Amino acid sequence: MTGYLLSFLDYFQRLFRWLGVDYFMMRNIVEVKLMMDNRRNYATLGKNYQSGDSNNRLLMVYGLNALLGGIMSIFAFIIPSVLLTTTILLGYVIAWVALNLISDYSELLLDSTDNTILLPRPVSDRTIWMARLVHLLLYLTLLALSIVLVPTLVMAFKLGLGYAPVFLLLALQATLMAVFLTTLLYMLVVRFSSEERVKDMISYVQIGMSLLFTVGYQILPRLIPYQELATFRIRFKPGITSCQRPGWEV
Amino acid sequence: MNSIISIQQLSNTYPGGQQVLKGINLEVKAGEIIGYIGPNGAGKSTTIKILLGMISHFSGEVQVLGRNIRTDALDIKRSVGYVPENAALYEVLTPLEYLTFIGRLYGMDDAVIERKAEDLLQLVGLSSQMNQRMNTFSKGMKQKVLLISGLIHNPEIIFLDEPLSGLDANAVILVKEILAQLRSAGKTIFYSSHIMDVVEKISDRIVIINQGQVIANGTFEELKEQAHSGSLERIFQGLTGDDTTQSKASDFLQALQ
Repeated sequence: MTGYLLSFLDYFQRLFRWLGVDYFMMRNIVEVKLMMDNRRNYATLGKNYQSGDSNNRLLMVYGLNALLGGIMSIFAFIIPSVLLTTTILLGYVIAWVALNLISDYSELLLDSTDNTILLPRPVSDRTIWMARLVHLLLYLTLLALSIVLVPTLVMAFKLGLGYAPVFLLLALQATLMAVFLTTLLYMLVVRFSSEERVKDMISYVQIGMSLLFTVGYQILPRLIPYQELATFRIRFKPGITSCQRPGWEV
Repeated sequence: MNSIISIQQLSNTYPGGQQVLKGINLEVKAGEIIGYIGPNGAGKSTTIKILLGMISHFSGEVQVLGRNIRTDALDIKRSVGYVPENAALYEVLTPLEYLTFIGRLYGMDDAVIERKAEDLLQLVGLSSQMNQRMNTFSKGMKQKVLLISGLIHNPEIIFLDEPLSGLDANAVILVKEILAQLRSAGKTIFYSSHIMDVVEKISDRIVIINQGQVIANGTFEELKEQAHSGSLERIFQGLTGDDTTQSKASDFLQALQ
C-alpha cells in the first residue's frame, strides 16, 4: 500500500519542487512514516493483535472501519427519511474519526523523538514540515475514506449515483470538523496539563465508554416500556438539531 | 585560525526565561578529542544542539568548519555526525531499514548504504539481528545502531552525547578503540559524558562547564596541576563546588534508618 501512495505522490513532484521542497528527502521521510504507521499498535485493534510483527496493522484498522460503516449503513434501509439517515451517518463519521484521532494523536503529532532524529540531518526545515504535513494528510484521507466509503456506496445504491458526490462532500466537511474539534481539545488539554495526562485521560475515556456500553445494554432496554418503544419516533426540532454539526444540512 | 569549531559569547535562554548558557567561549582544533563534562543541567546537551544547528535561538557567534551555523546550517550538517543521548530512533524499523533511511537523508546511494550498514552491523555483532525490529532490542543494542547512524556518512566532526550508556564491557573497549582510530584519521570528536575515567583516558583536552559557563579548559595534566588532585573525578568535584558528598552520603543512610 505504501508503494501505491508514494507513486501517487510522485505525480505532484513538480509542485513540491516548486514549493522549494527537496522531493526525494520528503519522499524518504514520508515512506518511513507510512511504514511505521503500518507497524504501530492501534487501540482500535485491541489487545489480541498487538503481539507479533504485522506489516499491515493499518489495513486491518481500515477493514474494521469499513465493517462498522457497513453496519451503520443498515440505517439507510430502516429509516425512510433521507435527511435523518444522512444526519445519522454523518454523526457516525464525526464520532468515529474523532475517536480514532484521539487514540492515535499522541503518537502522530506529539512524537518528540522525531526532532532528535530529523533535525541534525542535512534536510531543510521546509522539507521536514512538508513531509509531516503530507504524511498527516495521507493518514487522515485514508482514515476518513475507510470510514465513509461503505456508507457512500450504500447511499448511492439507494438514492442513485448522483447522491454519492454530495455525500462525499458532506463527509469531507464532517471529517474536517472532527479534526478541528479534536485538535482544539488536544491543544486545550496540553495547554493546561501535560502529555502524560493526556494519555491517562484517554484511558479514562476508554474505560468509561466500555462501562457505559456494557451496563447500558443491560439496563436501557429494561427502563423503556415496550409499548413506547414500538411507537418511538425520532423527530427533528429544527431549532436544536440545526445547532449540532450532523444536522447542519437540515 | 585553524579552529574547526569556534564559539564566542554563546548565550541561550529557554522560552520559560531560564538562562541555560551564559557566555561560553571555546575553540576546538581539527583532530582533537574534546571531553565536554559538567553536572546535570549545566548546559552540555544544549551546547551540542546549538553546534548541530538544532536550536536556532541563541546569541553569540558560532562557527563550525569555518562556516556560520546560522546561515550555512545545511552544509555544516552534511559533515557533522551526532549520536544523541537517549536512544532516539524509530523503534518499529529494523536496523537495516533505519540506517537506509538515515543514509538517504545524507544523500547516499542505496547500494553504498547497504554495503556499509551490513559491514558495520556485523562489526558490532548485530549481523543476526539486522532484520529484526528494534523495539525488542536492549539499550546497548540500540546504542550500537545509534552509533552507526551517526557515523555512516563519514563525518568530519562527531558529537557524542553519552555514547557508552548501556554498552557491555567489550563494546565499550571497541568504541574507545574506534574513537582512537577516528582521531588518527583526522576526525574531530566532541565527547560529552558523565563517566570520568573514560573522559580522562580518551580526551586530548577537557572542558568543564557549570551553570552555563566554562570553568575549566585544558589537558588532563594542566587540570591536575590547577586543582592539585589526582583524578578527574576529584577535579570535577572540586570545581563544580560540591564537596559535601561524604556528609550527604551519611545523611542518606541516616534517612534510610
